[in-house]
Parts: sequence; structure tokens; C-alpha cells
Amino acid sequence: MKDYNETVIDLKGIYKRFYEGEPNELEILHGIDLQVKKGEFISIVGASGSGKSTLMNIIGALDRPSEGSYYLGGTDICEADDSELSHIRNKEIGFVFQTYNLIPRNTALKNVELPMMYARQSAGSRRKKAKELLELVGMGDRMSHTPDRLSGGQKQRVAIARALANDPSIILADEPTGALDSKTGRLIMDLFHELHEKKGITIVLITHSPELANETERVLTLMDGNIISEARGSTYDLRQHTFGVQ
Amino acid sequence: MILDSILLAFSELKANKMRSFLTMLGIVIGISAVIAIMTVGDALKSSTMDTLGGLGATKIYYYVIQKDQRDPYDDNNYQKDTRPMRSADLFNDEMFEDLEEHFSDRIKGISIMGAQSSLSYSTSDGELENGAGKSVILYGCNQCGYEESLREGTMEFTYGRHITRQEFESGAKVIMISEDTATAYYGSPERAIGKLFEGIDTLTKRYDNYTVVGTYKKKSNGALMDMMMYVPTQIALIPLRSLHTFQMGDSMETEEFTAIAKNAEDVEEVSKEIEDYLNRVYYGNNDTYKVYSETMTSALDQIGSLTNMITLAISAIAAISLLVGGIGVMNIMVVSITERTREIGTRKALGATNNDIRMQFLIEAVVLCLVGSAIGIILGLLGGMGISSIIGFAGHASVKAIAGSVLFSMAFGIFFGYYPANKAAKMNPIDALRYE
Repeated sequence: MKDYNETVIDLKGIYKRFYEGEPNELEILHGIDLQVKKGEFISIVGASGSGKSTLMNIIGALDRPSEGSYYLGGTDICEADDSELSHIRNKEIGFVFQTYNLIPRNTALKNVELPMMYARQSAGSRRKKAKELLELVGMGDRMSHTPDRLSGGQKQRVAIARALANDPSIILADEPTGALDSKTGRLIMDLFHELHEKKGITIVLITHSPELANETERVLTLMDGNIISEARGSTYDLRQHTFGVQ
Repeated sequence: MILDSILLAFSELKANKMRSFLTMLGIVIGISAVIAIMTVGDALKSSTMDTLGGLGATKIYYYVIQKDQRDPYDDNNYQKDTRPMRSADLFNDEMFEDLEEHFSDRIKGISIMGAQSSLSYSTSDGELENGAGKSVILYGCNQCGYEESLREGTMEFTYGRHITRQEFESGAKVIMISEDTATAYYGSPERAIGKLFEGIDTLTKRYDNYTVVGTYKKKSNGALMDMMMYVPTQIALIPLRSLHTFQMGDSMETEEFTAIAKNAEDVEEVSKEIEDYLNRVYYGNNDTYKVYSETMTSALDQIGSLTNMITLAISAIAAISLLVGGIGVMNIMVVSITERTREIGTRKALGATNNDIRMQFLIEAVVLCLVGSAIGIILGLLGGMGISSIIGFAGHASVKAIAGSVLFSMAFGIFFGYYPANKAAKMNPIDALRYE
């Protein structure tokens, strides 16, 4: 186990309630504490209804907690307004979705450029970066393909390249292999491991699969809005899988 | 960023070609109607003004009208039961001589020309068509009127010779007929010269004859002008005195005449001066009738206001079409935004601010309207030029109308695109991401 120092995600006493103050008030998260260090690869597992998605929305700065404090890379998320949250998502978080969520009719290259476009980077520099990233995930030969001409695994690789576009503090992957067959899913997981091992990228994997979670360095199990266990994952050996990240 | 949004908007347009086209249709129709009508209207106006101005810039028309009427076309104040015009109410020789002397430094002459009677004749093959034969309308004119109509009017002298001053003064029985009439009567215009033109006067039912001295043909001033200043080829010109001398006694009386001003610049002024003079000197004691004058300028004003009215009416229709088109754009934007909810969620997750999203969809609406208006401008110009050339004028693209259309459709896109764009901008990213 490597030694990590710098804390990237710092969640303290996070509560999330819906319909606050109304008779049908619903508390989904009951005081979550979670710290993720820079360069870590952790996973959050839990059955559906455990509060996984709500926690992911908060970690991803898509939503604010009802109570508690959340610092992402030193920025207080609870105090940020909508446009600051947009900015934080843009710079600090790379989303990878189960359903890929590529923009239809935009080429792979354009899709990867998108976060850099919202970061107001110049057309030339973002094109260069997007090409590099697509090469990195092994999609260098399909840059001008639109999503409808890519397979599920290829789409997910483009999505991963897009998530890396603005050099975010963390990659937040929500069931990234959920829509893929096991073989392709394996390749995507290998890619995450390579990015983590070789590039030192911080990854938070959200999944319902204990096997996948067990590959990561730290496994947090969520049940009914509480983290019920924290364990060390261990079964992954990168040397058995070579994907080709340089 | 904006460039990206524009490119994206075009790719969305292309991806939904049929839908985009149908959406733009209202805008296309509206804009093309406006552009076409502007093009035709401009062509009409400028050409009509040019031609009419050229034809009659120095002409002043005088009519005898009822005292209560504002002009000869004023039917509201026309009294049906008033006494009919008598000889004393009409313009006569004495007045013309007086005017020519009194205003000798302002007017070139007084032109008298008017249909007085008609003459039916048999055609060269001797058969009377439908038992009635053909007829010419006899236009009795003085020398000034004759010269005016042949020099800058709608007729062009072709064969034979002109009617001479002596013939005008003595009221000789000479006639100038159209080539059509000559061909119908004699077989060809050349053969008509010097021949006797015989027929029955439709007014007196008596036999009458004139010697043909020359022929004319119609001079074209463009299809629309020809329509407005219609010259039937049945017109035949004869000296005014030949009519009066032989048919109505010695005095030359008419209810309208034309004065030809020396300068085009002070036509209005001269027109009023003569009108006042006539009303003071000759119509001061008249209980029912007065003199009214009109120049091309006032006629041009009427044509101008007529074209303006037509333009306004069609513009109103176009405006309704544009409004419907605009609502169509709004509708399709709402549909498009609903369809792309997940895309909007993704964009927000990737860091798009509300403003980025709003701008993107606003630009999309504007692009939709602009493309529609571009197609409309092209169709409108083609249509407008086509119509203009059919009615015989060169249509000019109105830069003002085109610039206006472009600006207007941009404003339209922003106006009708704002609501849907704002709706997209305000979407909650979590809900949008989960939207199925």
C-alpha cells in the first residue's frame, strides 16, 4: 500500500434530506464522514437504495448536502453558488457515467474537447490535449467517429478521456461497467487501474458489485445512508493485465 | 465558445433536416413575402415615377367639377340631382386664347384632346364582323395636344405625314389612324396613306369621311405603364375643329384640357395660379361648377400611397406568418430541449454554467431563424425579380429590406428562443442526468 498525504475529498458529518420541513421529509444520508487522499483508488459499494447515488451527487458537486461540510481540493462546496459549482465540476471532477453520456452527433474528439471548451481554453490547445487523451485511452484511430459509430466499450473509453480533460482532482465513475459485457467491462476496469497506477489519478468508483470494488485500494460499504464498513481491497494485480497506457 | 455553439446549432439543424425545414417554413414564407413585395414595390414605384414623370412632368390637367367635390374622383360629394353641364359651364376657345396670352411666359401651350365620337367602318374583306363592323374612336385634338401625344406620349408616328398647322386651324377632314386600323381597313399601313376613310358616325348615325394622312403605332413604356395608360389602337386623331365645324357648330367646348408648363420645377405653382385665375374670372358666377387642376405630381402621390397601402397589407400578412413561424420555432425548441434533457445534464456535469446552456440554445434558435430568413431572402428576391420582370421592370434588391430581415429574424430568434433556452438553463443537473 502506497503512502498518500494530501487530502482531496473531505466530507464531514454529511446529511442529506429531501422535502425538508414537509411531512414527507426523507433523510437519505445520516452523517457520512469520508476522506480521500490524492492518488487513491477507492470504491463505494451498496445495494440500490443505500444512498450511493445521493452521495455521488454530493461528491460530484451536483448537489449540496443539507448538513455537514465538504471540501474538495480545499474549496468549500457548501458555500458555492450554482455557477461556482459548475466551475468546480469543470475543473476538479471528471465524470464517468454508466450510460456514457457522450453528446450525440459530436465526434469523439469534440466530446473530449467539451470540458475544455467550458473552461474557455483556446481551440488549438484543447484539440491537442483531446488528441493526446484519446491516444492515451487507445482511441487514437477513432477520433472523428460519432458515438453512434462506437461500441459500448469504445464509448466508455472516450468518456474516460473526456473525464481527464481538465486534469481534475478526482475521477468519479458511476457504475462505469454496468452497461458493458463482462469482457469489455474488464478492459475498462483495467484502464482505470492503469490510469491509477501509472498516472497517479485519484478515482472514486461507485458500484453495486463487490468483486469490482474489491479490486480497489479501499472499499466503503454503504447501507441505508451509513458507511457500515471500510475494508482494504487487494485482488488486483496490474502485471496480469496489460492495457498499454504509456 | 460562441463559434462552437454556432457550429453545434448547424449540426443540430442538419441532424433534423425535415423538422428544421418545417419549423423554418413560417419564417421563410414571411420573410420571402416581405422581400418580394419590397422588391416589386420598389421597382414599381421607381419605374412608375420615372416613366410618369418623364411623360408628364410638365403637364397640368384641368377638369370642370361640381363645387362640392374635392376632386373628380370624389364620389361622396357628388350631387346626382344637380343640373347637367351646359355650354357655359365648359372650357371654350375664348378661355384658351386668354390663358395662352395671360400665362404666355409660364406655359408652352394648351393641349386639347378627347374622345368626341366614333366612326364604324367595314374591314378590307368587306365583311362586317358580327354585323357591326369595326370602329375607331375619334379623338379631336388641337395642334398642341397632337404634338404632345406623338412626341412624348404613348404614340409613335410611323407612315405618311403629320397633320399640318393649316389643317388644324381650318378644321380639315384629315385623320391619323393606328397601324392596326390601317391594316384592318386597307391591308397595310403604307396602302392607307392618302386614301379616304369612310364610316358611319355612331353619334349622328350619318355617313362621314376623312383622308388618311399618316399612321402611328403604340409606344411601349413597360407592361404596367401600358396597362395604366391604356391606349386602344382604335384611337384615331383628327383636328378638333373638323369635329366641331361639321358637327357641333363653331365653338370649341370641352370639359377638360391640359396645359403644358414651360418648366417642370414650378408646375405645382403654375397649376394653382391658372386654376385660381379660371375660377375667379370665368367661374366666379357659376352656381354649380368650378375648375380643378391636377399635375403628375399629385397623381404620383396617389400611386405612391396606393403602393404603400398594398405593401402595408402584405406586410401585415407576412407579419402574421412570421409570428406563426416564431411560435413554431419556440415550440420546436421546447421539444428539442426536452429531447436533449440528458445532454443538458451531461453538459452541466461537465461544467457548463447556466449561461453557457442558455447561450447555446439561444444561438440555436437564432441560427434557425437566420437560416430561415436567408432562404426567405433568396426566395423573395427571386420571386420579386421574377414578378418585376414579368410586369416589365428591373427589380432591385432592397438592401434596407434585407438588412431589416436579418436583424428582425435575429431579434425573433432571441425573443422566441429565450423561454426554451432559459428553461434548459434552469434544469437541475441531477434530474436532467437521470431523465429517460
